[in-house]
Amino acid sequence: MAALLSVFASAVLAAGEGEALAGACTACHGPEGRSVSGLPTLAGMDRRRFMDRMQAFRNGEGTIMNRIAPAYDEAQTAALADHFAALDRVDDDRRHAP
Amino acid sequence: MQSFPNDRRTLLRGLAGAAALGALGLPLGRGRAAPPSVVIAGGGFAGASCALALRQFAPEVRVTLVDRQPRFVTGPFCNAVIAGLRPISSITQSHAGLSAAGVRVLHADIDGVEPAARRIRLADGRSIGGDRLVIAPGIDFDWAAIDGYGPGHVARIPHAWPGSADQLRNLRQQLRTMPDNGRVVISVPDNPYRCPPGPYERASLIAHFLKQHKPQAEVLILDAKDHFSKEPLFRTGWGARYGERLQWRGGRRDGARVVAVDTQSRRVRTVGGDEYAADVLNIIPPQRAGRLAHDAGLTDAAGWVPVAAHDFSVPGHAGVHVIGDAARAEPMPKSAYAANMQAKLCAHAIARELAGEPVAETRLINACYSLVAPDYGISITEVYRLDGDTLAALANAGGISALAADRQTRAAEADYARAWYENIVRDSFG
Ligand SMILES: Cc1cc2nc3c(=O)[nH]c(=O)nc-3n(C[C@H](O)[C@H](O)[C@H](O)COP(=O)(O)OP(=O)(O)OC[C@H]3O[C@@H](n4cnc5c(N)ncnc54)[C@H](O)[C@@H]3O)c2cc1C
Ligand code: HEC
Repeated sequence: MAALLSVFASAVLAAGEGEALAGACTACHGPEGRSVSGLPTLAGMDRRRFMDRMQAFRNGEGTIMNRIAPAYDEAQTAALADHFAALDRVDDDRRHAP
Repeated sequence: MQSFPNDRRTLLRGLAGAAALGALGLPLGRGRAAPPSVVIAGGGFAGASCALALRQFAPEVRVTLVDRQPRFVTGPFCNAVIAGLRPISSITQSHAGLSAAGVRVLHADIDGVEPAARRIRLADGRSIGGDRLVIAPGIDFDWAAIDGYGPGHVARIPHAWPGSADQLRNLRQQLRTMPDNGRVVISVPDNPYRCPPGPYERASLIAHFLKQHKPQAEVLILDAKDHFSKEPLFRTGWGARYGERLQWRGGRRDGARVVAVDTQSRRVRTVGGDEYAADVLNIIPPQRAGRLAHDAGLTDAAGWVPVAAHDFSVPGHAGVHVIGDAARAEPMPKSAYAANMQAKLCAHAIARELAGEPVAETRLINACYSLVAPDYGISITEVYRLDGDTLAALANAGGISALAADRQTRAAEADYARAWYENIVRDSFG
């Protein structure tokens, strides 16, 4: 099982895992994690803070994240944190759009 | 026109893509000089999200999307429109954002889809083919299910599921002009159907409207089921807000499934033989996959398309995918959230396969907010993992909002529901 998991883990860590996982979050948090509404923006979020918030949700905080965060293990949460941390908070194309 | 950078990486990905298509037994075209292409039939939440996700995951792929409606009303928040809580314009969407993202959008009636040729046939005789065909036609209604109620009756008795802007306006108008002590009857089908909590949200918001404007009037739900989505939360909310004004008669035991409608008198008969008169009648008929999927022979006996969950491909039809309400994706419900989610998984798998790269392991989410009242929101969510070709809900996540919650929490979820709408619309339609 451990061997299987590690083989799996290296496949999982292939580029794009964070991107694929994040697709499940953006219908609520906005495309690329940039919210256009009262839900929080995830794009550009500090990696450490992201991990801390997800831990708080696993501990029961939140109206709905407490039912979502427990589904993600440490490696997946880290991949999500990396993915969102690497995105600009504001979309340059939109910001400079006429 | 988009440009296709010809650096080495793109070239390699293109070659790998050609090899991957060859491995699937799909024709390779002229040595793959042309970029791979995907055609999408239907531009609702599923089709549109898939087109956008393909532009993101595989910018070199040419994406064409066909839908008959240049402007359309969304299911989400149409109940708020019916109850007069927001204007129709706020739930009217278009495909302008898809075009801006580089999707070729065609507004035309689709006559049929041809899975073997991976081609869309338009009503005007044109055909559009691709390396992959994604079919996302949403639902159609089973008009044979209820005696006396057919497509010709929706002007008098709207289903508003969501149908059209006209149907929403019509139902809204009927509520405004009904007698002060009148009765609204909503008929709800058995599972599966589009948006499991939708009928109960509709009943709630209509009760909210009546409470303010016609305090003597009532809402009666006639249900083909004996249990329903978020039931304990709805019942708690109904008790707190609407009391006797909102009543539910359930199915299998007392036979509350509506089997016949008299459209002139707005009376309904249930399978148990009871008759009810309504001043406003809303029939939500039983449903099945959109006609395109059915005509192409992709549906099962129940009327839905079985798919392989890892990429929402249709077994036995190479290069063909079905996403959204038309697909059979249990335990995922038929929702805009699920349609958007399935579309991304499908797009991700297509992009990876075209590039000859392995599909990353991932998680899927469904979430549905409902409004019991404008300041009273509740939700249900699940997280799924892929278990081979099926989906499995994770036991350590998901569920409904807390049964005991204070006013602030319910109000916060109502605000999040409205915020979710703004974000999913952007995430799906650009
Ligand atoms: C009252 C109500 C409330 C809802 N609330 C929510 C909610 O709060 N949250 C949620 O997640 N979901 C909600 N939904 C569900 C949501 O609307 C659907 O699940 C979602 O629209 C499914 O997306 P789809 O792309 O599969 O189908 P659709 O959005 O219906 O898109 C199908 C598209 O295909 C096109 N099409 C079909 N056939 C043809 C043809 N022959 N030629 C050309 N074009 C064609 C149609 O024009 C349409 O645009 C609600 C639904 C209703 C009715
Ligand atoms: C159904 C809507 C919904 C979905 C889906 C969702 N979130 Fe959230 N998210 C929320 C809400 C609402 C909050 C505010 C906390 C709460 O009430 O639960 C939040 C808060 C957060 C925060 C804290 C942000 C801050 O600045 O404090 C993080 C981090 C987060 N979500 C990450 C995610 C990730 C990662 C996913 C996908 C795996 C995800 N969310 C999916 C609704 C959602």
